[in-house]
Amino acid sequence: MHEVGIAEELVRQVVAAACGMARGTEVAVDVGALQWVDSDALRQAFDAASQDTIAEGARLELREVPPRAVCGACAAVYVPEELGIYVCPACGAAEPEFVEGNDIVLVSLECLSPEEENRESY
Amino acid sequence: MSRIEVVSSVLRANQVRAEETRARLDAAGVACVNLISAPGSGKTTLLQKTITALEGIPCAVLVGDLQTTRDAERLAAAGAPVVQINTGRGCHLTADQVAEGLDRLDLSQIQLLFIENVGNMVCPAGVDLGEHRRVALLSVPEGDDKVAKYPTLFQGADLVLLTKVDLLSVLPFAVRQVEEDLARVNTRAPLVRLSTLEGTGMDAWLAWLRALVAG
Repeated sequence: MHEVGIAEELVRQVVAAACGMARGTEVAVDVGALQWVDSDALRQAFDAASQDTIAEGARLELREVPPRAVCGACAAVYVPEELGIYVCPACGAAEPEFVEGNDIVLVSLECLSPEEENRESY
Repeated sequence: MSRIEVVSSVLRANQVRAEETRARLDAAGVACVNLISAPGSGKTTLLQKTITALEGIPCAVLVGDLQTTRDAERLAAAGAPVVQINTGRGCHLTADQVAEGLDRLDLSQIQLLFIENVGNMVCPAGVDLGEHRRVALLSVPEGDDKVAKYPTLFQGADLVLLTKVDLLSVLPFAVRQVEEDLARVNTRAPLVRLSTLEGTGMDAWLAWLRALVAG
């Protein structure tokens, strides 16, 4: 359900970035696996939040980013063996500082300019 | 078709607001603890007892709920200033809501601020509110598999409270399972067994809070 807040902020940033464009057609987002985002829920929330904005109807291109951690005990860098098991392979502590896989990043947009939009509508 | 490169964090707006809140609390000398758990794990009861027991440390509570002011009423009866935040359809508090809640408190009159998050083990776990410490609660009736099922909440916790341990004598619940699962996600946070009914663990919890306030 936290996908709703994520989608609202995503739409806000898409609208800001697409200033001067007629319509967004594709929105590429890197989703950190640690954010436990449900792709379907995010798509639905994005569709709802983008209504009546230039992002309405845009396709969400989601890419999951796996976690990478720095061990807080021994500073080893490691990739957790699976989500929910964060034991450091070097020292056995579970004190991960996640340096990847913990963010949600708006990467890029595909947009139609007003001229392109007009051409398409012919 | 034009491609616009953006590369901006969708979570950053909340993070910036949370950092502002932390700085504001630091300037006022107020320690802040964010309590996260499922509904019914005993957050409100624990806070009622805690506020009463922490004599000499003036507390306040920001309490988030989807609906009603019932928790706020219970906490106000314990004698602390309470700010209720109704999140409506929001499944967790946001840094914005907490910052607005702070505006309704006199920070010069308190030393310790509790944030009682919306009862939910998933959504609040990834959201920084500007707190100094995060406490995860797990109650015995919820079952001993919850650390494994909701690793993000427990991974991010500075302290884990196993509440309602007075029910260990009547419910099948393996504390060892919780300890083992916790060892896979978080070896930093102590696990305190607590019963507000019988008083078990209250000394350890209160000592942890006093140490935090003392800085």
